[in-house]
Amino acid sequence: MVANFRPDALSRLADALSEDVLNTPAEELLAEAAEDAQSPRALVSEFDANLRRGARRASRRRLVERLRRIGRGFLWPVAPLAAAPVVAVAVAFIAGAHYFDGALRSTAPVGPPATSAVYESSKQPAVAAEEPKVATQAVASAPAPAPPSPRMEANTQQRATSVSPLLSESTPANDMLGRAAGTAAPAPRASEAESVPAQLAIADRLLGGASAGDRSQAFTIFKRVAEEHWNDPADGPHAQETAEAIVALARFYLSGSPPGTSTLTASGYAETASSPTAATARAPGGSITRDPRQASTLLEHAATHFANSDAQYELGRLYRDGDGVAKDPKVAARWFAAAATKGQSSAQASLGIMLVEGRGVARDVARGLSWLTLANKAAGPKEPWIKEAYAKTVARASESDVKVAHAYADSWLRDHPVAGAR
Amino acid sequence: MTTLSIAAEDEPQAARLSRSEVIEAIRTLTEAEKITLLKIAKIYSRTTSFGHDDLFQEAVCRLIGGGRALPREAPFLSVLVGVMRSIAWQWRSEAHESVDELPDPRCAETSAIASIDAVKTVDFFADDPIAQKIVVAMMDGARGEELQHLSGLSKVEYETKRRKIRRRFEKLAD
Repeated sequence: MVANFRPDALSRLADALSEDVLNTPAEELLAEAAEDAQSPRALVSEFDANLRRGARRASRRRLVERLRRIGRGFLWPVAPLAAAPVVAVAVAFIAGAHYFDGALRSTAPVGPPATSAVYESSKQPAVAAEEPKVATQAVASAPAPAPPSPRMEANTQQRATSVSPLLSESTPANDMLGRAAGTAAPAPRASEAESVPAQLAIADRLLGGASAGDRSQAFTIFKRVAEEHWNDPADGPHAQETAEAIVALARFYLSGSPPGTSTLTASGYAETASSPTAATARAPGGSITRDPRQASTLLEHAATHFANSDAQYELGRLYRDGDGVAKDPKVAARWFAAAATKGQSSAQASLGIMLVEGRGVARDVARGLSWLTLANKAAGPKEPWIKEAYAKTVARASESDVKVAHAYADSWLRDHPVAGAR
Repeated sequence: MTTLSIAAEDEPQAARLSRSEVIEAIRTLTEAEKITLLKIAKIYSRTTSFGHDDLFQEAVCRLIGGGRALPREAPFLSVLVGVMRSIAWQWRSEAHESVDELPDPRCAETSAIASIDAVKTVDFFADDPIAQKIVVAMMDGARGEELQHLSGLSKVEYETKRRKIRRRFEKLAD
């Protein structure tokens, strides 16, 4: 049955149903809205809120784009030392222009303030404070121009209620982060100018500390980075650091108690609490109770919006084990595949095991072994379960499967030298 | 690279809407039109792994930010729906590309995984064989009278059934 559907089947269904919505009389739509949300006004408010967020997103992108153009056309020929004051002037000029642009538009006679959501957005202090920061980073790192759309790695049936909460508002993620924050000790506040990598370096160092207080402070730093950059573009300068911070937070929720202890997975292979940064997953002073559902919400954002491979792997584990989400081996395999293709060794091993066992995917020992081979090559000393799984599978596999697996693995490494070197 | 096809300044142009006109057009949508757009965002988001909020915000962002030109004579609602549709398509394609990177060229599993959502959607209508039949036909591209003929229902019954399908799908996407 699965193979009978065309790849665009869902899109065609969506097209047909959208036509139906467009052809539905207004009165009927309003009645349906009243039925769904007690009042059509609730849906209209939702619409306005989304409009505001979309406008903010556009505003940020426009500013970053302007700075990129300046960087490309003007700064590159200038020597780095000479460029520094020019960058400062450019940032100040554009931030100022942006401010006045917003101020002018906020006074434009466009209608009553209660409904002029787009114009309200230009007056939001949170955005005004955030944009110059993003802009400065964009110039400093001079990233190559890239499409602004977020990357999406895999589909999943279980979704977060909203994957793009603005953390200044009441949202599931905000509530979750806020609730956790209330239990954590204040972290040493880096200055506003402190870079995100520097903040994360402090957090990592604190995680290595022995005391619960250190871990609590690390938690607060991760939370702060996640809050401040939650809605950063997926190709933004701090996208991956933000994703790492979100994954670190999720791991706090996943462990709920000091991790590091090995657990036995459903497949029977011993697997540590998490992948490469497993040692960092510790509850801050025991103040975070284990909550895989909240972890899944965080991971889903990092896995979809930021396409972070560690998040994709962790999310795959949740779906495989039915931990915080409905158990779904097929969805798990898909997340593992998304992370595996980026060279995430734990995901490669997990996907390999699923293929060997025919769990969630059609059984294919050779392909499973090829992923396990790749994982085995990349596995560090803290991942004995990968080496064990590889050894067990090789011992059971036929000679031809081993040959084919190695051929696949070699071919993959040739095509993905960067991912393979991770 | 996204091009800035809407006028950089707020000067109206003859052929396309300026940014301020786009904003004004969105702002002055009626309640029913806003509900229409939200419902359609929910439907298209169901084809991606993003929520309808993200899809709608991205569409607004591209319209206001200039990522999409808005012809002056085009019906605004239809253009906004078209933008959401193309974003959903793009996001879904990107997801498939990433899964297609699996190293095994003979692998049938990739397409199978890509079809999981379609299967689950059809399964969702398992308690209503006629609705299921219509959904499968819609997925295959059937439209209008052909669908009614396939369902074996009268025109009124068919319209009712189709509304039920849409409402259930909307709830599935919530």
